[in-house]
Amino acid sequence: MGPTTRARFVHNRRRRRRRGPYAAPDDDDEEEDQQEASSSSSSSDEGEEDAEEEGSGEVDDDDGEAAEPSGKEEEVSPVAAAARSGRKASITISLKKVCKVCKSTGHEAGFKGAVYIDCPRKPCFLCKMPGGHTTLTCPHRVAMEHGVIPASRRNTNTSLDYVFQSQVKGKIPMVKPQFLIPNQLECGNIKFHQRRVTCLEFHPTKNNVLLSGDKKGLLGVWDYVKLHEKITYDSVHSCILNSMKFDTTNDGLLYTASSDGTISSTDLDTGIGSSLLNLNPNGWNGPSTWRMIYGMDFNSDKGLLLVADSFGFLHLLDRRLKARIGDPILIHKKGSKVTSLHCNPAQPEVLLSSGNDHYARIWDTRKLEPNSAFVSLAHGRVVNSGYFSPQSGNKILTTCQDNRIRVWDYIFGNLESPSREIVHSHDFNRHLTPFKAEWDPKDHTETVAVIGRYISENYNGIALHPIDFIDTSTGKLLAEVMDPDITTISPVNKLHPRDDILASGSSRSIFIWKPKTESDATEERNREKAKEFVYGSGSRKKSNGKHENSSDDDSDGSCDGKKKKKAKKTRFTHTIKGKGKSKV
Amino acid sequence: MSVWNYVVTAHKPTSVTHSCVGNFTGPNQLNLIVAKCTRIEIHLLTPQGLQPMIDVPIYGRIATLELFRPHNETQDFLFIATERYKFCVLQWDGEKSELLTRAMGDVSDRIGRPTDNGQIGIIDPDCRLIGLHLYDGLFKVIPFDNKGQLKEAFNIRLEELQVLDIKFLYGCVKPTIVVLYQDNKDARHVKTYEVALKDKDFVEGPWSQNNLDNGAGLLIPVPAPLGGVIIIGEETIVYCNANSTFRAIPIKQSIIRAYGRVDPDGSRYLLGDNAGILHLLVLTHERERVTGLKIEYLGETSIASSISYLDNGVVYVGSRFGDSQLVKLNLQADPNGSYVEVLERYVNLGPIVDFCVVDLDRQGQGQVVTCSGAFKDGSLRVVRNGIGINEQASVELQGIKGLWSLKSSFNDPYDMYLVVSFISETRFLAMNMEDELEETEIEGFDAQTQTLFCQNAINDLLIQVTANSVRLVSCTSRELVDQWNAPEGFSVNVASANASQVLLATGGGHLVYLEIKDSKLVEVKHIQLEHEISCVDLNPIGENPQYSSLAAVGMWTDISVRILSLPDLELIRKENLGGEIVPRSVLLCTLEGVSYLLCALGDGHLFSFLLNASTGELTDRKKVSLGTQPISLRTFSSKGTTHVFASSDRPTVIYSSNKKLLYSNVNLKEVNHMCPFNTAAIPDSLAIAKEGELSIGTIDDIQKLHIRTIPLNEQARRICHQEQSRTLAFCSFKHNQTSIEESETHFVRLLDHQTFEFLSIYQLDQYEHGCSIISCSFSDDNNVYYCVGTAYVLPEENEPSKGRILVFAVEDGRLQLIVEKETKGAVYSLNAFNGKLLAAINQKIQLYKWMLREDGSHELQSECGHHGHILALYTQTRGDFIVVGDLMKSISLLVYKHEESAIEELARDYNANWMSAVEMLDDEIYIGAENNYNIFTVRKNSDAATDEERGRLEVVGEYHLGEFVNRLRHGSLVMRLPDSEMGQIPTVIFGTINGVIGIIASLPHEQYVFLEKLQSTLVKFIKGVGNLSHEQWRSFHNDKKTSEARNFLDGDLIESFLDLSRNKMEEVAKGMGVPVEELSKRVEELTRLH
Repeated sequence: MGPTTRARFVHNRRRRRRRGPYAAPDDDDEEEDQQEASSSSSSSDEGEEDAEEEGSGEVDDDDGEAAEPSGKEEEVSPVAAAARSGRKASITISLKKVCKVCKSTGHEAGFKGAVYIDCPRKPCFLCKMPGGHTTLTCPHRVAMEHGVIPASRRNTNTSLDYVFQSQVKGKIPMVKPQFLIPNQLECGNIKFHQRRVTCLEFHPTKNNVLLSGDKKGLLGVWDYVKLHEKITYDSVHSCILNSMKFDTTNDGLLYTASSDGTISSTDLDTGIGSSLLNLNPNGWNGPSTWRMIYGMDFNSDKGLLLVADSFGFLHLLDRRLKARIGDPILIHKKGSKVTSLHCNPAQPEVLLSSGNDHYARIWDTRKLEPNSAFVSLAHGRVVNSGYFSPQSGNKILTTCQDNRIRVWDYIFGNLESPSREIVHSHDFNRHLTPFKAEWDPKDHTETVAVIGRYISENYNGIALHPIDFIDTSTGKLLAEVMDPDITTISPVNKLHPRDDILASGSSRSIFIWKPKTESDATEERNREKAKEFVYGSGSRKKSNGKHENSSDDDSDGSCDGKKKKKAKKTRFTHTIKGKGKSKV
Repeated sequence: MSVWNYVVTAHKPTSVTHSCVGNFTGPNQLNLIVAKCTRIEIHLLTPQGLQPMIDVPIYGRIATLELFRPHNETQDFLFIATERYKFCVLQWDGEKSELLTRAMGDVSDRIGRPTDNGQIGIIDPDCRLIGLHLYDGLFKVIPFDNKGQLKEAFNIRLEELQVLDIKFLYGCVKPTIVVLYQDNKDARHVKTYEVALKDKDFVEGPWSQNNLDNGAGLLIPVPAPLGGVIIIGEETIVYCNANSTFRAIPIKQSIIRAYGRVDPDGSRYLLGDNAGILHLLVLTHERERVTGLKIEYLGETSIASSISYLDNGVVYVGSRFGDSQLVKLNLQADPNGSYVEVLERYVNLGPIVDFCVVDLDRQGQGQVVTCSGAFKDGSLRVVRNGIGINEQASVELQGIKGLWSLKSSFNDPYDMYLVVSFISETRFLAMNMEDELEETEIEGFDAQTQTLFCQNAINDLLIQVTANSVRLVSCTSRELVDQWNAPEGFSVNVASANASQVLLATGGGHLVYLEIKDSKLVEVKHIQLEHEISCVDLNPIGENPQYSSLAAVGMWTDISVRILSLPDLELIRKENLGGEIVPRSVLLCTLEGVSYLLCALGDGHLFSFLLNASTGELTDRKKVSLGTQPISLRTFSSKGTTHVFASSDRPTVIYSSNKKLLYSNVNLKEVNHMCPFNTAAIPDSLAIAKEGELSIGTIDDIQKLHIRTIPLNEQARRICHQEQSRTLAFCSFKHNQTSIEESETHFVRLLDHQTFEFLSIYQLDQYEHGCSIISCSFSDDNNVYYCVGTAYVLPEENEPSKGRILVFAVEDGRLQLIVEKETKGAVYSLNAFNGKLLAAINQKIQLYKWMLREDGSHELQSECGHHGHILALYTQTRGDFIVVGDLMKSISLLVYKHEESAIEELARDYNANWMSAVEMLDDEIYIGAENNYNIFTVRKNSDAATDEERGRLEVVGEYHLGEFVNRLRHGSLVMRLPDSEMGQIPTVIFGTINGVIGIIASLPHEQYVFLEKLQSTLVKFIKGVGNLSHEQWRSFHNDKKTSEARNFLDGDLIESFLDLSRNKMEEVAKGMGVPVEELSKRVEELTRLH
């Protein structure tokens, strides 16, 4: 993308919401202004909202469909604006050009086609730093590594040097080979879920099996090589499925955490699950007592499940006893949501938690008490996720709502301030699953992370939301992955632990990406690459047990109905032949 | 081959990683201790030179080797830390002459980033603590208590993350370290810390020094009273200390990584740089104040990895890239300006970057030609199992039936005459004054008939035995002195004699014993045995070298060997050999003080027995197969030691080492007769009668492997052999360093495979590197070509994007470029494949066809390819299958589909192994080596039920070799006899960075199970040095996992059974439930694999 490329924000999910269609950035800013002090509670509110909104699907359905046919927007906008004002007074149609963000005249901001134009009166939406620039001119926009101090150990060897030097010197620092970016859409499962996908996980041993959870608590199992081998289990949870973990000693068994306040262990073959924990034994008594579970991890050394709720408490659960151990411990500000938990892969006793209280914290789970954290890593806003690096556990990667990805290069280094802050657009989670930067589990250098981008790109007139591959050691954007057929935002992304495969969850669909095979022009031009899509929910749908209830049938039906409609709309065909990309 | 593999070392590591000097074996004994990665050698300094004391394996790769002297001790202790975070403290037990373990332990942490610059282990000069820097940001301390015992270790956080070196300072009240580190902006500084042992923390030290030379990489602490530290940079050397003394001198740009202290007071140091230059650094001082630095050029050595100053100007230079050396520093420069005189070189094969197996004689016995050494110390090494005879002279002579050498007088140290016997005559050769052998006459000898035996006898007599008579001839007059005639109607069939005795056998089983008394032949005894006699011997083995009290006789019909007493010819012992093959040669001999009876059969088998020289008792019967033809046995001596030569179709030298009989092949095809011929001109030479030829040659040192060095002064990288053109070709490069620029020039060189004479050279383009070479032929073309794969390494490119495949023909001993083909990347590997050429080019496997153009020339045309590798580095093929070793994605299996003309992936191993070599053991099993020093096997799952399983190469064997393998190739270093059990066992040879040549042998399952049991039994009897665990050492280990070794056996451990004392052997045998003889026989057979 050249510097002339202009930004555009897609936020049409807001169209039906309270404050009108083009206010998304504004929205956020206002929210921030008003609730800066209590943004944690705002976010957890939002979670509750989600939970409460269970069933009222309409709002949510549009969630991911960020970019409905874009040309329409311009025409609609004045009408919509009018509609809004019309609610309060008699109908007048103003044809004055006002800024859609700040409502003042003299300049225009908002969408022009696929491009969003910043309001000059607001601080940069991306880096959120004052300084007179706007999102369009934000230095972080062009080069993500702006202002980033790269990690010092950079291996400048070429692979060839590595190969021949290691033959003489033995084990030398390993090179960082060219990273294979899964940048070509291989297949998709369109509207596999009825609600937006909230989490994804690859099966630890079955190579081609992907698990997905959605906002309604539906658990999907999909073999993306045998496209039609897919199942959904709908009664594991009753609302948002936030986290999934395999029992590493028995990979037929999956633990899931949900906003319904339960932890369930499900046998993947049968779909039979049992509840290990229910934090709301007394049922719904209003949002002030309803506990939801977001963060969960599994310490396989000890057979210990670690679970954190939306009030800042950590619960320990013995897998075999299926019972809680000890009392819940407050690990984040009381009443604030704990968004993620991660056990250090090398030393599972060491736990990283992140929360809505703007902190990520490191704990020793053997000596847990309130305020016993080794370190509290301060963040600017809500921390969406925090992960240790997947192999050595030596690095930390967090995603924060202040549009920053933070990296600590070494847990024995200086942890007071992050080694790197990478500005990246992901500050948006209302009706989207929060964005989380995820490590590439197979990257031995532990530098590559993947995260969906909120801000959109003008891609031949279509607004696309790329999935970004970021080199966390330099802050460089390695690749932005997008496909003109996917106009929705992809907040949920997972890289395969062994293959060069990316799975992304975007709205209700799941997509599988593979590296583009670099073809010799002569040889493979005529070999047409086919990408395949399957539609709709699982071919079988199993509820918790054997009985099928009627609501399932209903939803199946409605889904089918929608499917056809949407299929036309989104121009998807079952196979699209010959992806003759104009640009390489 | 199979999944049950046996790994054994044929050539031990030779690259020297560490060395140190101290009083280890005794308060007054000075020792040099050398670490060769997984072994340590302890030498004693004697007035005669370095005397090896002990050479032991360590169950780990040595990361640190330090001598230290705890308080109240009179001799040094040895501290060893291994790369897998084990450590031990060793002490010498003078009484038992063995190593005692004082302490051992594990210093690993579960989290922590292993240091990039290698592990650092240091010991406080006042012996208060051991410091280890193993992970970034952590300094591990093992404190000593006041009795010198080690206490529990703890970590201290170290702020500096990029540490280059850490040393303890001398003469500090509190233990103080000096840390050389690099900051985030790549600037380098030193800083000091005091270790507060009580608080388990650092206290900011007395001084620091910022902004040093950008190449500063080595710290040398200076002993008290001077104190302080020398910081070695690439362009400057700096001295600084606590009193803020700062002295610096500029040096010529060089990278110095090895140093040795000359004087205990620390005023002079030897520095070795990466070009092999040895410098002397002098700290000039006035009393305790350093006034300046001086550096002097001393001379050139091998590129040093360690320097140990021994004594009297003698220095040990250990090297990883070339031969290690013992050098003397002279006071006067030689004409070349060098003060260095090389006293001794210690052969080092490492790093073996590549090798090829050349079977010159087509006998199934390979000799390995390695690309050894690095940089200026690069060389080719010809490694051969067995003993070489270096022919000095030869003459064509048909029909030789026997050979003997005679001295001109009994006490003459040298041989004078060579007696050559033919079917109907005997000819005599003698050394003349010009050191020539010319025909002569010995008048008293019968020249008209075949000689059966000749010998110098006491009283300056010569003995000749013919079919009719025994003659005694005077050495001086050469006239007949006495004669014994065979009885009428009988002729002598076989005979043997020593200085005073003659034993002969005539037809009908008659055995006649004669003695020489007063220059007369006296018939002492005559007996008749029940069968015909096939061979006799009375080589003296007792106290008296001129008289034997035992005789050995081999018999027809009952196939036995008998020991008779002399002079009365009474049967002491009869040993039935079994079978139907007649013994053809018997020999009584004493090797290393042990008496043996050897008995060779007509089919190439050999029996050996331990012989009790006084009672004649035979024990420890063993049978080995040496060849297929009758063997004749003869003793000879080389360097004062007696050995046995077995002439046959596969001539063998039998020698004794550690009182074990060892068999070593000789590099000759077929030898009918041999006799030692020790002349003044060529001492210790042998006369050898081959088919149609008599030759005189010298013999190599009697040892297992023989290594010949072809120095290159540049580094060879890839090598291959072409039988048809009788040449070897290799890719090599030379480092050119001018004052400003560094560059490399790459070549393809051609040499004769026998003489190793350089025939031709082809210089590659600028920036072009030779990456692979093979010899191959193509479909529809009878010629054989060398194909070379290259890469253009351009300074601005991250990844080579261009390379070439060059096809050469050898014409008149020259490399002729026939075809070149440009590629889109580095050609890391080439294989001949179905009459085509398979190339691994960066991420891709590419198949090329050999096409005839209209003008009659050829071209390489790309046919198909396969993507999906990070970097395809190593490929092997078998039929239509291709195995690829990837840079970081382990092994994958591809198949070429003829009909579709396409290459597809069938299966792969999903582990993230960084490969260093692959080979296909057979159609189903593939072996790989990776960069964490492991080897593993994977199996094709073609019968699996699901696609998913079929697409997965199942890991079936895992083993920590502890060596970085650069090449795996099918082949054998030893002769594979088709009729022996071992001959059926397929083997793969590997070569490693430390100079190890090893063998991987695929065993039958039954044998594997047996040996596995033996291995687990042996582990209980043979304790690792420092009590390090064998099981842990051999467990497969990388960053992600550690798992027990499986389906690989440690042959080095199993074969060390033979070094056990008899008692221990018996205990092991008892544990195994197998007789000790059978057990040693089975293990001995294994030793014949290498």
